[in-house]
Parts: sequence; C-alpha cells; structure tokens
Amino acid sequence: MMRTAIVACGAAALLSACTPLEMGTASRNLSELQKQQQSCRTSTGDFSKAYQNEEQMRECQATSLGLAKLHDDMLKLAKKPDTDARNAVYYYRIAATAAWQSFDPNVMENAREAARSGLELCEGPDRNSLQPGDCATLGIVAPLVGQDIATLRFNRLKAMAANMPAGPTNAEKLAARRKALLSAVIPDDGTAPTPGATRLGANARLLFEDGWRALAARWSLLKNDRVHPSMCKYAVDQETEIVGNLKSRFDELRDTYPVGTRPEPPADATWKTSCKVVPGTDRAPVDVSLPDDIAGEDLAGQVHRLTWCLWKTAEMTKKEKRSNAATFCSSPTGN
Amino acid sequence: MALPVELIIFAVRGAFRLGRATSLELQAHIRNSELELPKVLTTPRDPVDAVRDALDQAELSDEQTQRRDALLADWGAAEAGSATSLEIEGSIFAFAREVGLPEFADAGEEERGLVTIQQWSEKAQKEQVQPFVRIGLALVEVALDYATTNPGVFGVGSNGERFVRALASAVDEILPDSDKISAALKPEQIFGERAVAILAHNGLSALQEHISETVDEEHLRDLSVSILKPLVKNFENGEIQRKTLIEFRELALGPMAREAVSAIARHQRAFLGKRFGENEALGAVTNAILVTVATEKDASGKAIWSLESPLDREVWQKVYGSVLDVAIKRPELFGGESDAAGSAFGRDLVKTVAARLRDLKGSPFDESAAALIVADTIDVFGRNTAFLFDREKDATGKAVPWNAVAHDAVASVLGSISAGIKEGVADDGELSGKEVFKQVFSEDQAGALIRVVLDQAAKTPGMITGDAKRDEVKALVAGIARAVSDTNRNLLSSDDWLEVAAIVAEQAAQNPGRLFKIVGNDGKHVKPEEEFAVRLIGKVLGAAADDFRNRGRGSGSVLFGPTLKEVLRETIETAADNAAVVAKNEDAVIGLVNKINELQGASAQSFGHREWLRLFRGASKKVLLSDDGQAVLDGLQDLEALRTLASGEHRTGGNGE
Repeated sequence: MMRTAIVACGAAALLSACTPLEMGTASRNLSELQKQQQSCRTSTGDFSKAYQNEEQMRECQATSLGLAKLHDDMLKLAKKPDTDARNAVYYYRIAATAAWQSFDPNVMENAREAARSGLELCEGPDRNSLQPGDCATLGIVAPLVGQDIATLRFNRLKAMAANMPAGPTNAEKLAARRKALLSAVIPDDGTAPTPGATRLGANARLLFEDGWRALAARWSLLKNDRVHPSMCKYAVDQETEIVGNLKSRFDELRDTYPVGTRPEPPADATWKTSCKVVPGTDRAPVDVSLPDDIAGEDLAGQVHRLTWCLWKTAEMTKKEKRSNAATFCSSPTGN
Repeated sequence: MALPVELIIFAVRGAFRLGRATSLELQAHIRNSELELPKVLTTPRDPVDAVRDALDQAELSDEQTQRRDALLADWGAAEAGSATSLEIEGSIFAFAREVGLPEFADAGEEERGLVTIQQWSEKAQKEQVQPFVRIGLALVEVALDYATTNPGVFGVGSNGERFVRALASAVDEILPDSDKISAALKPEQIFGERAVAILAHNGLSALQEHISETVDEEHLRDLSVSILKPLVKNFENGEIQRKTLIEFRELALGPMAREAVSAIARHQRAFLGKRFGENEALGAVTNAILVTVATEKDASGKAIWSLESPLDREVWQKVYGSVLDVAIKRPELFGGESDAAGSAFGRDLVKTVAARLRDLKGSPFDESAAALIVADTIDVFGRNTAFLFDREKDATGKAVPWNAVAHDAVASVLGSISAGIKEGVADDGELSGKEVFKQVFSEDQAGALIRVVLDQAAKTPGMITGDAKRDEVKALVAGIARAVSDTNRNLLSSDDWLEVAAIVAEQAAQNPGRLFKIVGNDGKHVKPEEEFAVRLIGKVLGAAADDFRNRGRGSGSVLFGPTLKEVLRETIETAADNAAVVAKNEDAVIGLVNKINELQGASAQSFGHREWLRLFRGASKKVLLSDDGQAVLDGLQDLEALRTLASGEHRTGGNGE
C-alpha cells in the first residue's frame, strides 16, 4: 500500500493530495504491521510460538522486514528537503517506531538514529509549531529501545541458563542455572563486577542507563502542557515495567539458591549507602556501582548486591512514586 | 446540522487537485490523529520461583517452617517437569495460600498490546476543530486513499460517491452532537470517527466488486446507520466493555460491513423503489450480534465467541449476510407493522441462531460449516415464508403473523439438524462418526447436503412446522448421516452421495411415513439404522461391495459410482411408492443385484454398466413389487431369463404391474 501511494505520488499530476496520502498510508501501515508483530511474539520478545509452522514463520519474517522497510521509506520522506518540518517529525516518529518494533537488533539500533534526527527538529526553530506528541514519542523511543534490547538479551540468557546440562532433579537444574547466570557475570578482566565490565553488567547498563536514565531525562518533553496526559501515563507505565524488569533480574539470581541459603539484600532504607549512587539532575542518577566495602565479598555476593542496587535505584527514583500516575500526569509540572 | 457532504465529495473528486488549504487541513488532521505505541518487553518470573521466594521471606511458625522445608526438599529431589514435581508444586501453592501468602496464579501470558495515545492535551483540544470536521476529514482521507488505487469506484455518480454521501449524511444520526464545539472530543466521538473510517474503507472495497450495479444512496445510508449506531450507542452507555467494543470495531466491523454492502449491491433489483427497512430493526440485528459475541459465556464463565478467532468472525459475518439477505428480500419481516416488531424479530433470530450455532459446533460440522448451514437455513426460510407459515393459526383460529413464529421454526429446524447429525453419524471401527462424515463431505458439501434436506422440507407442508414428536427433518438428517457412515461408503463419491441424499429427501418428503417411520408401532423412536431407507441403502451398498471385493475392476465389476447411485435411485423410488410390498422383498432385491453381478461377471467383456442398469431398471420393480420377490428371482436361471424379465414379458402376481 505504501509503495502504491509513493508510486502514485510520483506521477506529475499529483500535487497537493500527495502528502496527505503518503502520511495516511504510512500511519495505517505502521498500525497494521505493529498489530501483526504483536501476534508474532510474546510479551517477552519470544518469537518461537510464531515459528511453529513455515507459513507463520514466513509471515512473521515478512512483518519484520516490512517494518524495516517502513523505517527506510519514512526516513527518506523525512529527509527530503521540501518536507514541511511538522510532517518531517511525523515521519521520524513513524520511522523510529517501525525500527523499534522490527525486533531485528540491527534495525532496532536505527530507531535511535531516527529519534535523534527527529529530536533535533523538536528542539529547533520550528519547535512551537510541531506536534508535541510526535516529539514526546521521539524523546522516549530510544530509551525504550534500549530497554527492549536489554530485555531480549537477558531473556535469551535466561533461556540458555535454563537449558544448561544438569541432572534430572529440580535442585540440580537450579544449580546449573545459577552457575550459568554467574558465569555470565564473571568480569572479563578478573576485577569486581561493575556495570559495563561483564556481559550481564553491560546488559544492566543498557537497560539502566540507556533505558531508565534516558527516560528520566525526557520528562520535560512529556510534561509539555500540549502533550496529552495519555502519553505521560504511557511513559509512567513503561517506567514501572522497567523497574519490574530490574527487579526480575535480581529475583532471577536469588531464585537459583536453595531456600534458606539465599544472601540477604540490604534493607531498603540503606539503599543510598549500600549502593554507590551518583545523583544527576532531574533525580536520575548518573551512575550506580558498588561501594568499596563490598570488594571482599565473593563473586556471587557482589552480583547479588549490584543487581539489587540497580533495581532499588530505579525504584527509589521513579516518577510514579511521587504520587499516582493519574495525578502526576494531569499536573502541569509534576510534584 | 449535517456533515458538509458536498465539500467532502468535492475534496475527494478533485483528489489530485486538492486546494492547498484542504491539503494542509488534511495533513494536520493526520498528524493530530491518535497514535499507537507498544508496551516494552518484560522478564516474567516463573510462578514456582516466585512462590518459593515468598515462602523464603515469610514469617512462619516452627511447624510451618518444617513443613515448608520438607515440601521444598521434596521438590528439589523430584525430577524436573515430572508428574511428581507438578504434584509437589501444587502442594507448595496450597501451602502458600494456607499460610496467608497472596494467591499465586499459574503463569499466564502477560497482556500484550498497543497503547492508544491522544495527540493533544485537553488544553490544546479546545483549539481543535469541531468533531464533524474531524470525521469529515477522516472520510476524505479514506476516500482519497481508495480513489488513488481504484479510481473507477469514485467517478461522478458512481457507487463510491453515493456511499460517501450516504455515510456523511448518516453521521449526524450516528453521532448526534458532533456539530457542537466542546472542550474535548467525547470518547464515543473518537471511537465513532474510526468506526466511520473502517466502514468507509470496507464499503468502498465491497462496492468495487459490484461496479456494474447501481446502488441506491438511501439504502446505503440506512445501512450505515444500522451498522454504526448500535456500536456507538453501546460505547456510550457502557453496557459492554469498551475494550471489547474496540476489538469488535477493529476485527469484526470491516468484514461485516463488506458483507452488508455486498448484500445491498447484490439485491438492488429486489428493492424496486422500497426502502431498505427501518433502521431500528436492522440496528437490532447488529446490536444483537454485538451483544452475543461480546457477552455470551459458557457454564464455566468462559466467553463462547472470540473476536480474535478468524473462524468465529467468519461465522458471524456469514450469519449477518444471510440475515440481511432476508431483510432485503422480505422487508415486511423486519419492518413489520411496527418498528418494535421488526426489532424483536431481528433480535430473536440472532439469539436463536447463536444457541443453535453452539449445538452445531459440537457436531461433525466445524464453525465454518455450521455458519453455512445457519445461513442456508435463514435463506430457505426467507424464500419460503409465506408457504411455510401462512397456515399458522393461534388457539382462537386467528392467523399468527409469521414473523412471530419464524425464529422458533428456525430454532426448531436447526435443532433437528444438529440432533439428527449427532444421532446419525456412526464410527466404522477405525474412524469416529465425526471423522467418517468429514471424510465424505467437505465443508461446502456438508452445507449442500443440509441445503438439500432443507429445500425439500421447506417445500413440503407440515414437514418443518409439523408434529414435534415426528421430527421428520431430524429423522431424514440422521438417516442420511447413518447411510453415509456405512463401511462401504467409498463406492460413491461425495457428489454421488449428495444426489442420493436429494433422492431420499425428495421421496421421504413426498411419501410420508414410508421410508422413515420415525415412531414405531410400539410408540418408540425408530433408530436411524432401523429406518427402511437406511436399511435398503446399506444392503445395496453391501451387495455392491461384495462384488467389487470379489471381482474388482480387473474383472469388470461395474456397480460403483454413478451406476450404483442409479441403482439406489431406482430402489428408493420404488420403495417409496409401495413401501409395504417392497419391505417384504428387501432381501430379494439384493438377490437381484447379486444375480445381475454374477451374470455380468460371466460375460464382462460384452456386458457394460449401461446393460447392467437397463436390466436392473426392468427387473427390479418386478422383484420388489411382487408378492414373492424371491420366487421371481429363483426363476432367473440365465441371462436370457433376466433379459426377458427386464423387457416386461415376464408376468408376476404382484400388485406393482
């Protein structure tokens, strides 16, 4: 359909009707492809159910390719020199969303680029005439892509850990899972597991820094008084999901220990001292690591504490915590 | 105030010459439409892990701690995924609930989905155009999009133009207050705007297939109101969950709209200047389908219909189309003397159909075939209403309006089909009855089979609306299903079986009580396999199969396919003419079949299927209608004697001569 519209719009006779046609078609294509993609994957990003037969597999692969193509087409339209800035932002928003939802890691990375280009316009001289909802979306796409890439990686790691060779009993399976998860965080250089230094650490960083912190930095966009509260509510809900995902990572590690032998996490009240949190502006911490006094702990203990710190830092600084989402989003400045 | 129809038409007709102002307005409309964003991925936790963690952190008494440790130790030692492990997991969950921990549900897939986001804040909304303009622009957008790829559908005076006019003029009835500028769009206006766009897109698509028909604008307007008004009204009054209504709009509205517009286009000549029927009455049908699909639950509280299931959607699409067909062909049914009567008819019909569809779904028919049968039943009733019901009288002898009893009759006949098919199909030792039936008949053929029975029944006074104890439709369906279940069924093709079914149905209808007794002399129900017609078919099939097995095609056996079908026709027609005499000679006719097979086998090279049939046709009546068919048969020593008998020179003492 998209191609038809573009071809039609290439004809010389088609003048002013061309742009609305392209825009409408683009929006419908995105909606259609997103819905198809939803039926191809689970909420964990698992496509295996959709690949139960060849026909489904082909359809789902075509959906991913369709989203990648939509991203490319939209980017071209956005970058055309004669494209109105208001429409360009609209095209960038569709391009970024399409790339994000392709669930092809290479294409997902393109979402960040599209969002960055769109945001430049959002902050440029035409900013007051642009659709604030498009700009708000562009502002949060990159962190949400970061979170999704991180979650995909972790879920795959978890699936691999669950399939590690082990004896037949539940206890043996758990031990194998723990070993696999811990081996994933052994520091590459033998030092303590700080964010970014290990596979799991890199993943946590992706989720926390590219996701959580970037999202937190975008609240000014989301709190623009011309952005509908439903956008703010959406962002708060996704924020809650991200905190949930960070908690899940902590839980996943603890789950592998037999009951009664699990290391105890610090009390919530000691969060700031138990973790090395460097505060930034807009309440979003700029760094989270482990305090020096933990260096003596064993590897498992350090991993346990680090995943706890990431989760707690996110939970303690999340926007929704200040009040409920509805109140927070309906207030012009937040509280 | 109505939507500015002419402006919309002008905008669309000048598709490629839109004024700059209109184009900019349209672009702004598209940019300002709501957008959809997906939820982020999650890392769900295994519920067993979660409950073990909760138990680890719970404050337990010493006794509880001991029990917990024992349970968890047992779980740890159990083989992962084994029955024992699952049983222990059940005990762990039960223990968690017992010690006051929140109930841990089984892992269910988390809700996926897209979140719809409005583009403007309430403040900005105040600066927005009035809802009418938004809806008008949405209509222009769809029409423009469609006109680009299908210019033929939108020429001057075309169906496309009439449809867009019709839809635009219907908006003030569907969304009455949309001409008023308000602080914010009402939720039903946002909901309705998208519904209008979906109807427009699907309606134009359906009209493209009927480009040679001229469809009346007034009918399209009535139709638009009858489809959209119930949806919007339900959204407004909140009796059905909005999430369900949105699902209905996204998944079912398009196919139903296509079906409806096609029905209008198909039957243009049937209108002859009449209106399409009252909006309320047709709206009642849409509403009844909506309510049924959205709210019907089984005994366990589980929804019976799923909008996500393409099969369920197809079922209601077919039913909707068939109800609309009847509404067009017999508008007096839906208009009646009052709108209320028409609404009640439509509503009752849908309720009836929903109940019977549930029964049929459990029979050998899958959803799609069941829908076909229901649609056919409605169609047959629509075509035969006067014939079927004009004789209905109430207790005082006053004629009952047939639309007051028609849905009962639809219910009754669908019930008969469902019960008949369930009673009739039988396993053959290898396949279940359901599998046997499906092996013989494809979905379309199963529908055709039932149509054969229904057509015959509808043409026969009293067969459908007759005595409930002598349910002829049920007996007929059961008998045919049982005959088809015969282990020798493969000697006939599916098409041959359909013809045999038509013969049986016609003869049974014209000769009541002969081929199907239904109630025995002792007052008891006669089982399908005991019915005369079924016995005869079974015996002829048996004789044919014996010959085919013994000789096969290599030795020239001819009694299969069309030849066998003709033998069955002769036998059934003769039996229906004089059941009492034929019943005495049931075995003799099988003897005749065997005899002809034997003689044909002896000179297969010069004795083909035509000769076989000629001899059977000539001789069978004499054997079947004789006082002693076996004696006639015994006299046939050779081919010559058979030929003499078949040519009519032989005299019998029977009463059939």
